[in-house]
Amino acid sequence: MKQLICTLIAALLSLAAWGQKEQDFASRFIALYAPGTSLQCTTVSPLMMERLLKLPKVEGDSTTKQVLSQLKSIRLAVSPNPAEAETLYANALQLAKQNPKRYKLYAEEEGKKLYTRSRGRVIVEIVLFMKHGEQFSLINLTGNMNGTFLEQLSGI
Amino acid sequence: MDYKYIEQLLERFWECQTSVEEEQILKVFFSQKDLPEGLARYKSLFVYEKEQAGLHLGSDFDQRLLQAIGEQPQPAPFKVVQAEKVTLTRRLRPLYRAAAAVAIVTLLGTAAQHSFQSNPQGSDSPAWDYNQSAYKDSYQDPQRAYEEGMKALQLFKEGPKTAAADSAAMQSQTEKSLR
Repeated sequence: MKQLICTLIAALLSLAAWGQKEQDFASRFIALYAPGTSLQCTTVSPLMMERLLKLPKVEGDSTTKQVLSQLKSIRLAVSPNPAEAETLYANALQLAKQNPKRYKLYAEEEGKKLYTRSRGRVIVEIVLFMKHGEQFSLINLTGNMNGTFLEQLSGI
Repeated sequence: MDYKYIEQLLERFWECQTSVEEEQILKVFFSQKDLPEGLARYKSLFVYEKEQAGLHLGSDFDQRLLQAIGEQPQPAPFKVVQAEKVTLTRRLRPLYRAAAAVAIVTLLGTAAQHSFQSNPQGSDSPAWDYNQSAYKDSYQDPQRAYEEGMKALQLFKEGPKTAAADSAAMQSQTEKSLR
Protein backbone atom coordinates (compact mmCIF):
# COMPACT_ATOMS: atom_id res chain seq x y z
CA MET A 1 0.00 0.00 0.00
CA LYS A 2 2.81 2.34 0.96
CA GLN A 3 4.60 1.53 -2.27
CA LEU A 4 1.47 2.19 -4.28
CA ILE A 5 1.03 5.63 -2.69
CA CYS A 6 4.72 6.46 -3.28
CA THR A 7 4.38 5.40 -6.90
CA LEU A 8 1.29 7.52 -7.43
CA ILE A 9 2.92 10.58 -5.83
CA ALA A 10 6.03 10.11 -7.94
CA ALA A 11 3.92 9.76 -11.06
CA LEU A 12 2.03 12.95 -10.26
CA LEU A 13 5.27 14.82 -9.58
CA SER A 14 6.67 13.61 -12.87
CA LEU A 15 3.59 14.80 -14.70
CA ALA A 16 3.76 18.14 -12.91
CA ALA A 17 7.43 18.50 -13.82
CA TRP A 18 6.59 17.64 -17.40
CA GLY A 19 3.86 20.26 -17.38
CA GLN A 20 6.34 22.93 -16.36
CA LYS A 21 8.04 22.76 -19.75
CA GLU A 22 10.93 25.06 -20.50
CA GLN A 23 12.10 28.21 -18.80
CA ASP A 24 13.66 31.03 -20.77
CA PHE A 25 17.07 32.53 -20.07
CA ALA A 26 15.78 35.77 -18.58
CA SER A 27 13.53 34.08 -16.03
CA ARG A 28 16.36 31.79 -14.93
CA PHE A 29 18.76 34.70 -14.78
CA ILE A 30 16.35 36.80 -12.74
CA ALA A 31 15.59 33.94 -10.37
CA LEU A 32 19.28 33.34 -9.80
CA TYR A 33 20.85 36.78 -9.79
CA ALA A 34 18.20 39.51 -9.52
CA PRO A 35 17.56 39.30 -5.76
CA GLY A 36 19.40 42.13 -4.06
CA THR A 37 20.03 44.05 -7.27
CA SER A 38 18.24 46.90 -9.02
CA LEU A 39 17.47 44.71 -12.02
CA GLN A 40 14.04 45.47 -13.45
CA CYS A 41 12.29 43.24 -15.92
CA THR A 42 9.64 44.17 -18.46
CA THR A 43 7.68 41.31 -19.96
CA VAL A 44 5.44 41.05 -22.98
CA SER A 45 3.70 37.68 -22.81
CA PRO A 46 2.62 35.43 -25.69
CA LEU A 47 -1.00 36.45 -25.17
CA MET A 48 -0.08 40.13 -25.31
CA MET A 49 1.99 39.52 -28.44
CA GLU A 50 -1.15 38.24 -30.14
CA ARG A 51 -2.98 41.39 -29.10
CA LEU A 52 -0.14 43.58 -30.38
CA LEU A 53 -0.53 42.10 -33.84
CA LYS A 54 -4.08 43.45 -33.96
CA LEU A 55 -3.04 47.02 -33.24
CA PRO A 56 -3.69 49.34 -36.24
CA LYS A 57 -0.10 50.59 -36.05
CA VAL A 58 1.22 47.05 -36.49
CA GLU A 59 -1.31 45.96 -39.08
CA GLY A 60 -0.28 48.89 -41.26
CA ASP A 61 3.44 48.10 -41.07
CA SER A 62 4.24 44.85 -42.85
CA THR A 63 7.88 44.66 -41.66
CA THR A 64 6.94 45.17 -38.01
CA LYS A 65 4.08 42.73 -38.34
CA GLN A 66 6.34 40.11 -39.88
CA VAL A 67 8.88 40.50 -37.09
CA LEU A 68 6.33 40.50 -34.29
CA SER A 69 4.47 37.53 -35.74
CA GLN A 70 7.58 35.44 -35.26
CA LEU A 71 7.88 36.45 -31.64
CA LYS A 72 6.10 34.84 -28.73
CA SER A 73 7.53 36.87 -25.89
CA ILE A 74 9.84 39.75 -25.14
CA ARG A 75 11.65 40.28 -21.89
CA LEU A 76 13.86 43.26 -21.20
CA ALA A 77 15.88 43.25 -17.98
CA VAL A 78 17.78 46.43 -17.18
CA SER A 79 19.95 47.40 -14.27
CA PRO A 80 20.66 51.14 -14.14
CA ASN A 81 23.13 50.75 -11.29
CA PRO A 82 26.68 51.15 -12.71
CA ALA A 83 28.15 49.19 -9.81
CA GLU A 84 26.13 46.10 -10.77
CA ALA A 85 26.72 46.09 -14.53
CA GLU A 86 30.00 44.22 -14.47
CA THR A 87 28.78 41.54 -12.06
CA LEU A 88 25.47 40.98 -13.84
CA TYR A 89 27.22 40.74 -17.18
CA ALA A 90 29.64 38.17 -15.77
CA ASN A 91 26.72 36.24 -14.24
CA ALA A 92 24.82 36.19 -17.53
CA LEU A 93 27.92 35.00 -19.36
CA GLN A 94 28.44 32.29 -16.76
CA LEU A 95 24.84 31.11 -17.04
CA ALA A 96 25.09 30.90 -20.82
CA LYS A 97 28.38 29.02 -20.62
CA GLN A 98 26.92 26.62 -18.06
CA ASN A 99 24.38 25.53 -20.68
CA PRO A 100 26.52 25.10 -23.80
CA LYS A 101 24.17 22.57 -25.39
CA ARG A 102 21.22 24.86 -24.96
CA TYR A 103 22.65 28.25 -25.83
CA LYS A 104 25.04 28.69 -28.75
CA LEU A 105 27.06 31.84 -29.15
CA TYR A 106 25.81 33.56 -32.27
CA ALA A 107 27.79 36.78 -32.20
CA GLU A 108 29.94 38.73 -29.81
CA GLU A 109 31.53 42.10 -29.52
CA GLU A 110 33.20 43.99 -26.75
CA GLY A 111 30.71 44.03 -23.87
CA LYS A 112 27.99 42.23 -25.80
CA LYS A 113 27.06 38.60 -26.32
CA LEU A 114 24.33 37.17 -28.51
CA TYR A 115 23.22 33.60 -27.85
CA THR A 116 20.54 31.57 -29.59
CA ARG A 117 18.67 28.42 -28.73
CA SER A 118 17.44 26.36 -31.65
CA ARG A 119 15.19 23.38 -32.16
CA GLY A 120 15.89 21.96 -35.54
CA ARG A 121 16.07 24.88 -37.92
CA VAL A 122 13.88 27.04 -35.79
CA ILE A 123 15.44 29.58 -33.45
CA VAL A 124 13.21 29.48 -30.37
CA GLU A 125 15.16 31.90 -28.22
CA ILE A 126 17.52 34.80 -28.71
CA VAL A 127 19.42 36.23 -25.77
CA LEU A 128 21.38 39.43 -26.00
CA PHE A 129 23.10 40.82 -22.94
CA MET A 130 25.41 43.79 -22.85
CA LYS A 131 26.99 46.35 -20.63
CA HIS A 132 26.81 49.74 -22.25
CA GLY A 133 27.27 53.14 -20.80
CA GLU A 134 26.78 52.51 -17.13
CA GLN A 135 24.03 49.96 -17.32
CA PHE A 136 23.47 46.29 -17.93
CA SER A 137 20.75 45.13 -20.32
CA LEU A 138 19.42 41.72 -21.17
CA ILE A 139 16.99 41.22 -24.01
CA ASN A 140 15.32 37.84 -24.26
CA LEU A 141 13.17 37.06 -27.27
CA THR A 142 11.33 33.77 -27.72
CA GLY A 143 9.29 32.59 -30.67
CA ASN A 144 9.43 30.56 -33.82
CA MET A 145 12.11 32.49 -35.63
CA ASN A 146 14.15 31.70 -38.67
CA GLY A 147 17.57 32.67 -39.92
CA THR A 148 16.42 35.86 -41.60
CA PHE A 149 14.77 37.15 -38.48
CA LEU A 150 17.78 39.19 -37.38
CA GLU A 151 17.90 40.86 -40.80
CA GLN A 152 14.22 41.68 -40.56
CA LEU A 153 14.71 42.99 -37.07
CA SER A 154 17.28 45.49 -38.24
CA GLY A 155 14.75 46.71 -40.80
CA ILE A 156 12.23 47.93 -38.22
CA MET B 1 -11.73 -52.92 79.61
CA ASP B 2 -12.00 -49.42 80.92
CA TYR B 3 -10.91 -46.73 78.55
CA LYS B 4 -11.83 -43.89 80.84
CA TYR B 5 -8.26 -42.72 81.11
CA ILE B 6 -7.94 -42.61 77.33
CA GLU B 7 -11.19 -40.71 77.06
CA GLN B 8 -9.96 -38.18 79.62
CA LEU B 9 -6.75 -37.75 77.68
CA LEU B 10 -8.76 -37.22 74.52
CA GLU B 11 -10.85 -34.58 76.27
CA ARG B 12 -7.65 -32.77 77.26
CA PHE B 13 -6.29 -33.24 73.75
CA TRP B 14 -9.29 -31.46 72.18
CA GLU B 15 -8.81 -28.66 74.67
CA CYS B 16 -5.10 -28.49 73.79
CA GLN B 17 -4.07 -29.18 77.36
CA THR B 18 -2.17 -32.45 76.86
CA SER B 19 1.54 -32.66 77.45
CA VAL B 20 4.01 -34.29 75.08
CA GLU B 21 4.05 -37.42 77.22
CA GLU B 22 0.25 -37.68 77.26
CA GLU B 23 0.12 -37.29 73.47
CA GLN B 24 2.71 -40.05 73.22
CA ILE B 25 0.42 -42.30 75.30
CA LEU B 26 -2.44 -41.56 72.90
CA LYS B 27 -0.25 -42.32 69.88
CA VAL B 28 0.84 -45.64 71.37
CA PHE B 29 -2.75 -46.51 72.27
CA PHE B 30 -4.12 -45.78 68.82
CA SER B 31 -1.28 -47.61 67.08
CA GLN B 32 -2.57 -51.00 68.30
CA LYS B 33 -4.67 -53.09 65.96
CA ASP B 34 -7.74 -53.75 68.02
CA LEU B 35 -9.48 -50.68 69.22
CA PRO B 36 -12.89 -50.26 70.78
CA GLU B 37 -15.52 -49.18 68.36
CA GLY B 38 -16.09 -45.80 70.03
CA LEU B 39 -12.44 -44.79 69.75
CA ALA B 40 -11.49 -46.34 66.40
CA ARG B 41 -12.60 -43.29 64.51
CA TYR B 42 -9.74 -41.26 66.06
CA LYS B 43 -7.05 -43.69 64.96
CA SER B 44 -6.12 -41.94 61.73
CA LEU B 45 -5.50 -38.75 63.69
CA PHE B 46 -2.74 -40.26 65.80
CA VAL B 47 -1.16 -42.72 63.36
CA TYR B 48 -0.93 -40.16 60.54
CA GLU B 49 2.60 -39.02 61.43
CA LYS B 50 3.80 -42.56 61.76
CA GLU B 51 2.28 -43.55 58.43
CA GLN B 52 3.72 -40.56 56.63
CA ALA B 53 7.13 -41.11 58.17
CA GLY B 54 7.15 -44.58 56.65
CA LEU B 55 6.57 -43.31 53.12
CA HIS B 56 9.70 -43.44 50.94
CA LEU B 57 10.45 -43.30 47.28
CA GLY B 58 10.58 -46.74 45.76
CA SER B 59 13.86 -48.14 44.49
CA ASP B 60 12.50 -47.99 40.97
CA PHE B 61 11.50 -44.32 41.30
CA ASP B 62 14.46 -42.99 39.39
CA GLN B 63 13.99 -45.53 36.65
CA ARG B 64 10.30 -44.72 36.29
CA LEU B 65 10.96 -41.00 36.26
CA LEU B 66 13.62 -41.27 33.60
CA GLN B 67 11.33 -43.47 31.58
CA ALA B 68 8.53 -40.94 31.85
CA ILE B 69 10.87 -38.15 30.72
CA GLY B 70 12.00 -40.30 27.81
CA GLU B 71 8.42 -40.70 26.66
CA GLN B 72 7.89 -36.96 26.53
CA PRO B 73 8.35 -35.38 23.10
CA GLN B 74 11.86 -34.01 22.75
CA PRO B 75 11.95 -30.23 22.83
CA ALA B 76 13.04 -28.62 19.59
CA PRO B 77 16.76 -28.00 19.54
CA PHE B 78 17.76 -24.35 19.98
CA LYS B 79 18.11 -22.54 16.72
CA VAL B 80 21.34 -20.61 16.57
CA VAL B 81 20.57 -17.19 15.16
CA GLN B 82 23.48 -15.25 13.88
CA ALA B 83 23.44 -11.44 13.71
CA GLU B 84 23.14 -10.38 10.10
CA LYS B 85 24.51 -7.13 8.73
CA VAL B 86 21.86 -5.27 6.69
CA THR B 87 23.49 -3.41 3.85
CA LEU B 88 22.23 -0.12 2.43
CA THR B 89 21.29 -1.82 -0.82
CA ARG B 90 19.16 -4.35 1.05
CA ARG B 91 17.60 -1.63 3.16
CA LEU B 92 16.54 0.31 0.08
CA ARG B 93 15.22 -2.76 -1.71
CA PRO B 94 11.53 -1.96 -1.00
CA LEU B 95 11.97 1.32 -2.88
CA TYR B 96 13.24 -0.34 -6.04
CA ARG B 97 9.77 -0.89 -7.41
CA ALA B 98 8.77 2.71 -6.75
CA ALA B 99 11.98 3.94 -8.37
CA ALA B 100 11.34 1.75 -11.39
CA ALA B 101 7.80 3.13 -11.67
CA VAL B 102 9.09 6.71 -11.49
CA ALA B 103 11.69 5.96 -14.14
CA ILE B 104 9.06 4.46 -16.45
CA VAL B 105 6.65 7.37 -15.99
CA THR B 106 9.44 9.91 -16.54
CA LEU B 107 10.63 8.05 -19.61
CA LEU B 108 7.13 7.86 -21.06
CA GLY B 109 6.52 11.52 -20.21
CA THR B 110 9.71 12.63 -21.89
CA ALA B 111 9.01 10.45 -24.90
CA ALA B 112 5.49 11.86 -25.18
CA GLN B 113 6.80 15.40 -24.81
CA HIS B 114 9.27 14.89 -27.60
CA SER B 115 6.86 13.11 -29.89
CA PHE B 116 4.17 15.75 -29.47
CA GLN B 117 6.37 18.80 -29.50
CA SER B 118 9.43 17.98 -31.52
CA ASN B 119 10.06 20.02 -34.56
CA PRO B 120 11.31 17.92 -37.45
CA GLN B 121 14.13 19.30 -39.47
CA GLY B 122 12.81 21.67 -42.04
CA SER B 123 9.28 21.52 -40.74
CA ASP B 124 7.28 24.71 -40.31
CA SER B 125 5.39 23.42 -37.27
CA PRO B 126 5.90 25.54 -34.14
CA ALA B 127 8.88 24.59 -31.99
CA TRP B 128 8.24 27.07 -29.21
CA ASP B 129 8.27 24.98 -26.03
CA TYR B 130 8.02 27.42 -23.16
CA ASN B 131 5.49 27.51 -20.39
CA GLN B 132 3.03 30.20 -21.45
CA SER B 133 1.67 30.64 -17.95
CA ALA B 134 5.14 31.63 -16.70
CA TYR B 135 4.88 34.95 -18.54
CA LYS B 136 3.21 37.72 -16.57
CA ASP B 137 2.67 40.92 -18.49
CA SER B 138 4.25 44.08 -17.12
CA TYR B 139 1.58 46.15 -18.87
CA GLN B 140 -2.05 45.29 -19.47
CA ASP B 141 -2.51 48.01 -22.08
CA PRO B 142 -1.51 46.65 -25.54
CA GLN B 143 -0.39 50.10 -26.67
CA ARG B 144 1.97 50.45 -23.72
CA ALA B 145 3.17 46.87 -24.14
CA TYR B 146 3.82 47.61 -27.82
CA GLU B 147 5.88 50.68 -26.95
CA GLU B 148 7.95 48.76 -24.40
CA GLY B 149 8.35 45.85 -26.79
CA MET B 150 9.53 48.12 -29.56
CA LYS B 151 11.89 49.80 -27.12
CA ALA B 152 13.42 46.41 -26.36
CA LEU B 153 13.70 45.58 -30.05
CA GLN B 154 15.25 48.96 -30.72
CA LEU B 155 17.78 48.33 -27.98
CA PHE B 156 18.40 44.93 -29.49
CA LYS B 157 18.98 46.53 -32.87
CA GLU B 158 21.27 49.21 -31.51
CA GLY B 159 23.06 46.90 -29.13
CA PRO B 160 26.09 46.26 -31.30
CA LYS B 161 26.53 49.92 -32.14
CA THR B 162 26.12 50.98 -28.51
CA ALA B 163 28.51 48.35 -27.27
CA ALA B 164 31.05 49.21 -29.94
CA ALA B 165 30.80 52.91 -29.12
CA ASP B 166 31.20 52.14 -25.43
CA SER B 167 34.26 50.02 -26.01
CA ALA B 168 35.75 52.72 -28.26
CA ALA B 169 35.11 55.30 -25.57
CA MET B 170 36.66 53.04 -22.96
CA GLN B 171 39.69 52.49 -25.20
CA SER B 172 40.24 56.21 -25.71
CA GLN B 173 39.90 56.77 -21.97
CA THR B 174 42.51 54.10 -21.32
CA GLU B 175 44.85 55.65 -23.87
CA LYS B 176 44.41 59.08 -22.30
CA SER B 177 45.13 57.75 -18.86
CA LEU B 178 48.27 56.03 -20.15
CA ARG B 179 49.58 59.30 -21.58
